[in-house]
Amino acid sequence: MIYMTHCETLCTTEKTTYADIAFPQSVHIVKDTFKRAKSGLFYPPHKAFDKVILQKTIDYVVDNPVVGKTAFMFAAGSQGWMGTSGRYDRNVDAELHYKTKIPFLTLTNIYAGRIASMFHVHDHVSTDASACASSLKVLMDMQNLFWHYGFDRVIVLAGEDSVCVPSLEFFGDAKASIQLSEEPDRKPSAFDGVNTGFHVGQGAALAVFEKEHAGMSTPMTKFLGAYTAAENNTNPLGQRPDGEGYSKAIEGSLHVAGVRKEDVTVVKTHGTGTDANNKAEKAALLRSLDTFVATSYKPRIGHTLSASGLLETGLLLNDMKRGIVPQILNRTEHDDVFLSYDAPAPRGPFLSLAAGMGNIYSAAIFSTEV
Amino acid sequence: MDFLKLFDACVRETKPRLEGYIPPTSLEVTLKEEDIGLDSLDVTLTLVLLSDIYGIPETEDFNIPVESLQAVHDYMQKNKKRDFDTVEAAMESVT
Repeated sequence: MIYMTHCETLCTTEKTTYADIAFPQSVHIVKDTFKRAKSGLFYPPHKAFDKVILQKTIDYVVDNPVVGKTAFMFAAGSQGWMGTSGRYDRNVDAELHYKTKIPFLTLTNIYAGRIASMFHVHDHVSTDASACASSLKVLMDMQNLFWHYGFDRVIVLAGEDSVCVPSLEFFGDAKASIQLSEEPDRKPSAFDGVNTGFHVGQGAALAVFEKEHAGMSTPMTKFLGAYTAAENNTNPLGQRPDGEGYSKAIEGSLHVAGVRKEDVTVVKTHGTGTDANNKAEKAALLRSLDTFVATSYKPRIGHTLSASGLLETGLLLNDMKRGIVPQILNRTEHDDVFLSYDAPAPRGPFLSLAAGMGNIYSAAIFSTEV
Repeated sequence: MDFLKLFDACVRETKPRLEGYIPPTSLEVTLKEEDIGLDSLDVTLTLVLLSDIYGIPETEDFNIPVESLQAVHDYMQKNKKRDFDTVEAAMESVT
């Protein structure tokens, strides 16, 4: 059995408006992580990671060795937006503009090796680039290490430079993130007929998964299984409205977890609120599950890209511990499934979903019964 | 400005965890990991930050000598385009 024993998260509900970029918009940003970013020597995501890589977690891992092997996985999403050149990020005076003087390899792969070393992890280190599905996609890789390669502990770090001028302009250009000019009339929500889309958000998560051992701390949740799929779609930026990719991921995760579809009663959706995702994810859930309630955290904290799958799972765990599955913010219609109100949290298996550009759909099943 | 204090301030700004770091007490200290507790990435980041503080333009060949802190100090003094009276002022110059 695999347990999640630690999950530190960073995100914010606070928003700041940036009007000096090509697509002005509000952003969920942790401002102190941008200190000295313009020098090109300090990378805001690393400052964000510093806030979730706690000394007490390092001490726990180092002081409680497991018998089998330990791995470190960095779910790095798009592996760096701010290096993008071309049509975006042309205003070098923009408040959020920065360019690193350090190669990307240093910011991602080498950084992963450095953090792994802090945890004294020397058996396996990897960096994943599965876009916004990254932090749930690596859980499929993780279960493979647990089940087939003699690993007893896996540490997952998730996040990327979700907030930077190129990413904001990319999502603004795609009309996915809500523009400043739309804000009075359009609020972030998901599965809603009126409010659609999201703000971009900064986020990070660090989780420790392990097989049961003598020194193990009290588990937060039990990990049952994960699966990542693609769908039959010629457009790698699009989503099929019938939700084929999501369905394949959900059904794959149910299979590997050994859970019946009627046993999953809570879903943390990807829930970006875009028209395409609303159609695809809703269709898949209604087809692949039985009776459930679903929530989305992106209307509260923004879309934190690669961090979102794991980070939002951590938030749901905390909310379920308080006894609720929270409503999807800014719903304009009463909805008992894609929740327009806080619902009581049932115990048992729950599903987390994520999707990433490039035709990537990930699902992971956990259980509150530990 | 005390160069040892400036070097120490740069390390503390760039190194995510200070475990293993041995703050230098002399310019004779080398930049080898066993002597100062900085890995190659720590050293690179610290030297780039120092160059930034002294206003030394980035070059294609990253040719700052690393035999000792004395060598780093001499390179910075020879190539600097600006200087500061205090470590605090130097660190504040980094945006």
